[in-house]
Amino acid sequence: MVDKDYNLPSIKRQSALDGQIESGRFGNCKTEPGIFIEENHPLSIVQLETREPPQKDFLNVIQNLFNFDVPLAPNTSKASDKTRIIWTGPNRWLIVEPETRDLTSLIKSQIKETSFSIVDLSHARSSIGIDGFMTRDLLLKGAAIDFHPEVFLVDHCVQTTFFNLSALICCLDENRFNIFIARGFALDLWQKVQEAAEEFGYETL
Amino acid sequence: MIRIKCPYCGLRDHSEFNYIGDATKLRPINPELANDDEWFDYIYIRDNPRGVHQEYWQHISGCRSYVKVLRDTVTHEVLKTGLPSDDLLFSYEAEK
Ligand SMILES: [Zn+2]
Repeated sequence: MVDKDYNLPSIKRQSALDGQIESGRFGNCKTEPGIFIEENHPLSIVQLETREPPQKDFLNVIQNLFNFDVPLAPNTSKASDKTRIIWTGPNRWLIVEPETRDLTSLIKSQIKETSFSIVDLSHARSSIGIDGFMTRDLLLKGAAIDFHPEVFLVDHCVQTTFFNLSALICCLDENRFNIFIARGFALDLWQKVQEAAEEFGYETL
Repeated sequence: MIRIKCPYCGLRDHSEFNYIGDATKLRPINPELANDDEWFDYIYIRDNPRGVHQEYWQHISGCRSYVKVLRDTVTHEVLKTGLPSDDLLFSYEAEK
């Protein structure tokens, strides 16, 4: 049943990392930690796909809902304070925001054209945030991507293999990145990031 | 390490891609009229060329799109990449 006010169901969304995160400082922390790691949870994560390049009506709906346009260039994202829309393939996007409303039903109710598909991935993806002045060095250890700040700009994103896991990596700020991964790999990712961050010293939040 | 340029995402390591197969095979034009030999040929028979080969790859860890790749089977050099609808061999020969 869709709540007509697009409220969330009362069931609490459970994180795949529940009970796995020990907060504190670890590794080489003689000085300030070079890395800060946290889980982004709970998130609304919605995949939107159009069969053809998106029509004006579709673009208008997104613009009205979020006050910005879908990114059309590969490997880019756009964001407001609350919501980020990430390009994940030709005519395909991931819409991500902290979970406060039934985003899938809200979008579905607004789009009138029929040649699109919308999938709620909130429970299917896990996301962790990495911050700190060694973040780009850490990312380099896991992916064969150029993370130099002059190349990998803010709002840039890539889908690649990160420590052999298929991941979506998105740059939010100079040293701040979000990583999205299939839920079943969340703990693996968390542990790999921890291991990679040891030499820099890290703090889990 | 082979590097493949995805027409959407740009140059990436081949570990992000899955090999799909020979891109020179064409499905019978009239599937209803094709006989068993034609289907057998389309499904099973592949050349094993030495040199330039046109093939499909999928950017499985990236944008999930199919990518056409022109690859030298001797040197593994990736000569050209493009969309599945591109005729890479034709444009490669034309540029030579
Ligand atoms: Zn790609």
